[in-house]
Amino acid sequence: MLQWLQAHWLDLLYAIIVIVVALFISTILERAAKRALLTRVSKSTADNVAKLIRYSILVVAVLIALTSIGVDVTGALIAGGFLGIVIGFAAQASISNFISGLLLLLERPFKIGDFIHVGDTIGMVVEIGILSTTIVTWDGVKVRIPSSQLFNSSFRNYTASRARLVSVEVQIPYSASIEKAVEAIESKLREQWYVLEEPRPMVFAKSFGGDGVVLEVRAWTPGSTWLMLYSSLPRLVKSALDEVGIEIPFPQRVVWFASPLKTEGGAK
Amino acid sequence: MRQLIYGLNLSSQVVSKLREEGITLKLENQGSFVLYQREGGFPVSSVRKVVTTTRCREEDFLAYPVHSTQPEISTNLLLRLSRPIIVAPHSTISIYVKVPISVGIYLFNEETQMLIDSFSRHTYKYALYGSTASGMICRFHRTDVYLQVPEKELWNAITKVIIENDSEDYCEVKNIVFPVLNTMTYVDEQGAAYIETIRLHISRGGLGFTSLENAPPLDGLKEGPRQFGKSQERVVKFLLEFGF
Repeated sequence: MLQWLQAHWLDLLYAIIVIVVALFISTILERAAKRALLTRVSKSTADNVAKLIRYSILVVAVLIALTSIGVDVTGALIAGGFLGIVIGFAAQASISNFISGLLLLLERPFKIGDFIHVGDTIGMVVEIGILSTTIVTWDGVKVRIPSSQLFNSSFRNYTASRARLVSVEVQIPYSASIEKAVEAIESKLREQWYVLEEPRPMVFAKSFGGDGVVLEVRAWTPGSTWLMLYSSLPRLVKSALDEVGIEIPFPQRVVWFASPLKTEGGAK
Repeated sequence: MRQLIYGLNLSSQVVSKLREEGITLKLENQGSFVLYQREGGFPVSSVRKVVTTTRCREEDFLAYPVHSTQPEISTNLLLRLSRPIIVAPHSTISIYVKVPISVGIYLFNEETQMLIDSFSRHTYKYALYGSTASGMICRFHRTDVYLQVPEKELWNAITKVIIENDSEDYCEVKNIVFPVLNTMTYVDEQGAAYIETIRLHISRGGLGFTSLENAPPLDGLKEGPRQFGKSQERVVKFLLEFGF
């Protein structure tokens, strides 16, 4: 042992220096990566990526150090490679999620707080992890979506849009003035702070319906106030028509009875 | 005699001026607390806050101009000139415009200040500057163009815009967009509000940039409280990528 130390002390020193330098560099890089990522992704994702960087540097450093002191790492590498294949087969889905997660982190198609629509799920992104993303649906349910599903399927990001269009159709009686209805609805919409001044709200006669003239009402709103307009547009349209005395027509049916209907008072 | 309210503490003159506008402000002394109440105004129509008076007095509540935008919607202002201006090549002109402003109620002491409430009589309106695919939402305001300092108003601040056409062609200017939340506010002795001078530079290639001049539009104005943090980067140059 002493002989080995006398012969290889320089290599051993070199190996120790490699490990120390790697520890130093990996710590610095871990912190730098965490700082850089914290503003872009969730804390847990930033931690994961930073740790991955650190341990990768340390593994390489250990291999270099072992080689420098004469340890044959070929066997370990082959064993490691074989183990990797076995683990790879066993954890195919996880690896797919992991790689998809990394690619999503690079692409950044959404951020925390965005409303996204994936498959049948709509909700707010609350956490972006490497393996999965967590969203909270409208009714407060937390849903975990694997990264590979997000990466391989199309999804809608409602919040990323700067401006969004909301439209609704309404009928007015054939006897009512289209101009009066259009003016009343447009004016009502322009009063709302969340309806954009430009592009201006637009109301136009679209077609002739069974109960009246069909008007299409279109208004733009900032992406962040979409729900506000979406949930209030029918109410605003009805209120505008009520104010100018235009009733929204509804289907009416005339019912004929095969035999005279007897009522309590005896009236027919 | 002050005509407007900016730079004043919440005296009866300020309170009655706001009441004329349909906004009721009330400060109620409750021993070691002051109850601040407001009814009316936009974006929030009713506010009630309790302030401890350990280190403040009623006189420490002051009204100052604050930018009339909701930062979560937009921090930029799009001014639409009611009469577009045609600027000759290689020339510079100065105009005055009106910028929407809200009333901010600040709590001051010797060391620090805090904005405790802000409101306007009018609803804020926004518009999309640019296309629906890549434009940006801006606070929207139509303004006349003035060659002299215009009449002072409660809900509008005055600013000077220097338009500098460095290009070889005539340029028509109808939109001025800039990061309003980063601009400095000022008040004069009559209690009117101002914001810092804006420069619109039209480059040789016909591109428009607005920049903040870091100077008041008139001499003798008093600086208002800053609305951007000390550590916050103050964006001073803005590219009008969708035209001016």
